[in-house]
Amino acid sequence: MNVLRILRSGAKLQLGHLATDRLMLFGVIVQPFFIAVTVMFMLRHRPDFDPVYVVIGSAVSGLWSTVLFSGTWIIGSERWLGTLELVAGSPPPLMLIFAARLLGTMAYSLLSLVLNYTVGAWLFGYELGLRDPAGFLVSLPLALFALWCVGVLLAPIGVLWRPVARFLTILEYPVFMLGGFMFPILLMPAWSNGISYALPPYWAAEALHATSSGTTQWASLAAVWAALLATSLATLAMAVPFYALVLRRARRAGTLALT
Amino acid sequence: MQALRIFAVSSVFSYRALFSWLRPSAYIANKLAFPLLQLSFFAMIGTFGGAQPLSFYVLGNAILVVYQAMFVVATSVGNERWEGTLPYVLASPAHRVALFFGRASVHVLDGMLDVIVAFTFAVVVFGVDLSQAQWAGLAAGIFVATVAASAMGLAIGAASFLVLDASFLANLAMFVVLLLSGANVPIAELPGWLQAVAWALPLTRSVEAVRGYAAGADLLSGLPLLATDLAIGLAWAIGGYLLFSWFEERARRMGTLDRV
Repeated sequence: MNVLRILRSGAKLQLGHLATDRLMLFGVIVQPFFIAVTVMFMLRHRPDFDPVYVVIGSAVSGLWSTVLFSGTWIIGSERWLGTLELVAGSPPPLMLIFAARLLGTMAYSLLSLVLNYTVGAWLFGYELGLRDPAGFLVSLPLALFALWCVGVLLAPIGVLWRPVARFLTILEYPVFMLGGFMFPILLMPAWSNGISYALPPYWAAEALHATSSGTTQWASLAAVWAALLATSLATLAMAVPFYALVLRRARRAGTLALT
Repeated sequence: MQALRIFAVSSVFSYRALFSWLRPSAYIANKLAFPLLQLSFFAMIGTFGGAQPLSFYVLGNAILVVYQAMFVVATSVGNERWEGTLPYVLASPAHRVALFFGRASVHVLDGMLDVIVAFTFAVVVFGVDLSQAQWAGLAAGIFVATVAASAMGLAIGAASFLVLDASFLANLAMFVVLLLSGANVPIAELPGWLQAVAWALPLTRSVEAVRGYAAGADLLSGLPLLATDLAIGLAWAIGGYLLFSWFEERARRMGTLDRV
């Protein structure tokens, strides 16, 4: 119960922060909107053009941008606000606190999905039906979980190594491409396919595309869900030692509040 | 001479203040890697769409890398208020025209370098063929596009004093340009009212001219396009200066300099 309470209050706090953050508003609403409109124009000449594919792809791009920027900055922002000592000194584990905050980020990022459906249906007048609504209802929470796991991993990295953190923010477009959000990864160089398969966002996009516009065969869908869960849990497991390292470094060097 | 000195000093300081470039890694990440990755993304989507040849998307997005100049000019003007330095700027007796337009000059040179890197990337990674290119025209196109983008940045920076923060407006402008400049979507395919917006942007004709020069078009054929973009860019910059002057006058009169 205590964990649930922390998750709820952390998510609520984060939603409050995000509601007034213009950069995040841009990432969730404005950028996916323009990407969706631009890509609709670019892909609509394809004989097999499916607007649902674009809607889902641009929505996932919005989810990813939100997680990327929120995740890399979520601990740093506590430093800027001067509250990191209070957070680190509180009884709950550091990882749980920031995982809770990122739950709020995921809830906020759902706006991107809603907005992109509006773009496709209202602006372009397409009929946007889901091929497999039941499968989509399973894929969506799994996809959100996958992106949340990546955010949980990014958070400590963003504060541990600043030069690395600087390059993390440019991962936006590479993951758009490696994740197959807007085009199949088969168009990418063959050597990069292995990287795609190791990324939870790729399996998230795959599951959402498969259930919204693809041909859904339950056996192959189950395999996608399994890969999605496996890569997500592996990402979450990778994050654990980084949180311990944040606290250890801060306590040993006394640099917790240094910006 | 005094105005020239202010022009130069303003220009250099606005460049040095960018992105807090304490390390080269920040420059590489923000100024080089990001635009090239964005170029690759849209080029790959274009390939998947198949409506135009690959070079259409790669060249269009390579020239659009000039949005970097627009972005940094806009933020270096607009962030004066966020950084708390705007009162010092406005209290100085410096000539306003030199001060305002000086913000853009080094970014024009830097922006041209960005585009040259993007064209090299286009050739090496995407195999774009520039063997028939009209090099003088290409250079003129890159120059005009960078000047026009910087001019747009001045206007956006001035507008950010009134509306929102500069980064938000500059990011918004970047996506408008990606959609409407003809780099990714042919202008003729846009609805009529969007075409009108597209032609009001100071980069639309440069994209067209550069594509022509890359394919070997005659130098004279693209010059009217570039001259029009230069004129439109100048109009954007003058609009920005007028906005800046109006903001300054109103801030002095009403004491609203630091109002956010």
